[in-house]
Amino acid sequence: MKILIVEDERELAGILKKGFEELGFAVDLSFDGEDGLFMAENYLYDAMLLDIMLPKVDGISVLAELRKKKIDVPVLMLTAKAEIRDRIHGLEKGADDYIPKPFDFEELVARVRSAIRRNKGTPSPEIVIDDLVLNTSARSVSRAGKAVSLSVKEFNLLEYLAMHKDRVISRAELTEHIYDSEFDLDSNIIDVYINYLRNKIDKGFEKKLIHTVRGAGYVLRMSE
Amino acid sequence: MRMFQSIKARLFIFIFVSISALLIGSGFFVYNEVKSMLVASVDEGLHSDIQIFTGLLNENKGKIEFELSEVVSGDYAIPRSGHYYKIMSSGKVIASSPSLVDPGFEFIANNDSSSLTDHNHDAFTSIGPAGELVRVMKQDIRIFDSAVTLIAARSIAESRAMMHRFRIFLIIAILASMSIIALSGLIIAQHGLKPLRDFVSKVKNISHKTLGMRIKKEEQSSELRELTQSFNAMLDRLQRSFEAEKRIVSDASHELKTPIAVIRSRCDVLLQKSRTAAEYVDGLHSIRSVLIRMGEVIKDMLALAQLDSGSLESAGFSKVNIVDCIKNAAELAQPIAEKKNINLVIKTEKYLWVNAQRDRLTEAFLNIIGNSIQYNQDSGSVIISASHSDSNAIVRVKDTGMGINTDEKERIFDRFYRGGSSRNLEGTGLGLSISKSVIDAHDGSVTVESEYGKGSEFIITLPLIAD
Repeated sequence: MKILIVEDERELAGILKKGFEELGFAVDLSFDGEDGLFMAENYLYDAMLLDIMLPKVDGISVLAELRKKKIDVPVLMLTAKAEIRDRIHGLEKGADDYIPKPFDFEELVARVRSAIRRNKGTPSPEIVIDDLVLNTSARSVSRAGKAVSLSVKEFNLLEYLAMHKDRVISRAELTEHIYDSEFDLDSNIIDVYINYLRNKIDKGFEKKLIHTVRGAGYVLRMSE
Repeated sequence: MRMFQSIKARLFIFIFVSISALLIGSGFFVYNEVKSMLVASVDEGLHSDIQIFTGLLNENKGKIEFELSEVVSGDYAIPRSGHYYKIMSSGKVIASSPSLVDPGFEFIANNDSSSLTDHNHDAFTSIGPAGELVRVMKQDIRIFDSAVTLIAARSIAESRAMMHRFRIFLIIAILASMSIIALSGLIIAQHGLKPLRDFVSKVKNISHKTLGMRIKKEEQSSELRELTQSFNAMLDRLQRSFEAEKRIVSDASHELKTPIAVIRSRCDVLLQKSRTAAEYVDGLHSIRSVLIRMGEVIKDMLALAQLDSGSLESAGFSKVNIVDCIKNAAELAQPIAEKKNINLVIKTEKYLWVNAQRDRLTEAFLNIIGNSIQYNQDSGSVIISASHSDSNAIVRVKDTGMGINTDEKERIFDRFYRGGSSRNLEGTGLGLSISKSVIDAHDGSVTVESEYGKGSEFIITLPLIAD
């Protein structure tokens, strides 16, 4: 999952980036409203953390602009303003959640994940495809009742495919959602990880779940 | 005496007393006027009677005779008719009206009645032969070489009775009008004060939550407009200070919540998994530096709160040479200036004496010099000059920094305001607010002039004292 954090307090932004990355998220940072809006309009994110008091363009305006342009990325407002009026205002403008500072990091992560799940139309943290069970909050995977151990990158890849099951996803989209924007995009790396995943999930099973669609990308589904 | 503090009671009493006094006064006046008019008309009649009687006097062989004619018959012939005459010469009655019955009847003036004496006739009130009130006119004339006294009298019982009725009527009319006035006075007072009551109920509706409400001036009666205007002006001032207060609280909570969020997140992320000792040390260092900055913010906030409460004014002021303050401040700023390779230049007169709190004033200068260093370009310079003009010391702090645009100029002394996109620059955002508060407390002023992109100049004016 890739998220955008728009926060002008650079130190806080840096800590959040580090924290989310350690949990397997790809994180882009932006330090003002104008840049944040540009990033959100031009890159694909699974969620966005948006501070309200920002230089150049404030968070509420960034959000309004995004919604006006029909960009429906889940937006979680971060702010030191904790008055109920401000919260309602933010939610009415199309925010998916409102988190007052200071917050508990674990709770923030849980809320980000929940917002992403709701946005993808899979509100339960457990995604089941045939006998493959993927738990997005526990970050655990099992196939036919047996736990499968995956690396962070492998899990991220599988999670993204599972959240969009039955949909063919291009290598480019996969790369974009799994690596932050500073990563040098080389979609061959996706092929490498897909190969690892196949070895851990499909190998030894008659029913294959990961399928290659030639010229288009990959899809996670029950059968051909 | 409470009721006299009520406008309503005062208004009522004023209306009632003044109109009642007017009514009673005019009642008296009308009564007396009518009364004297009646007397005057009787007197006039008597006077003309006497004229006629005079014309009826004859001399016959040295004796004066009164020739009775039809003119003097009629009422005069009927006994006790109320119309009487009597003509005397040298103490003897020459003629008298039959109505008088006894020619020797004497009219004796009532001492309480209004008598009138002019030329040679005499008018007075007396009792007639029938015991009735009469008006008598007596005139002494000389005719045919004899002194003759003519007396004419008329009953005024009837007009007296009329006056009496008139008096009763007046008293009743006045009393009735007074009660009507009392009633209408109450209504007027009640009604007249209605706008005031409406005003009060509107004012009652204004609370700290509805400070934006204003009382519409046009809706008020003209007497209340001035009050409305000053009330609205007071609300404006209140609202401004409330909003400023709210903004300060909101800014302060932001300034404090942000570093707490940084520390909290730092801890949460550090605890997310097990780490090497070096990572923990790193984390602790960064938490420490955030805490130090937070401490600075709290210290500055407390300093400002203290300045706001006016504690500086009550503290001891002494005669201070501000040149020393400037030099000390520059010395304290030297290390940060060196970091940015900024040249501090000081050009001052030798002595500029002001009544001041030395340490606070030094701090005020330090904040301004620090600001000029912070917003300067690397290898720039800050020129500090101090001189005097009239009875003021003028301190100028000029930098070669980024300058301030016009919008920012008004806000630069606001609390927690940081210029441009400099929210991440060091400092608490309170330095210049503190400087301004300190200088204000010294009866001085601080302003800023700036050319965007070229630099700014802070100008501090402080009143000098004689050395």
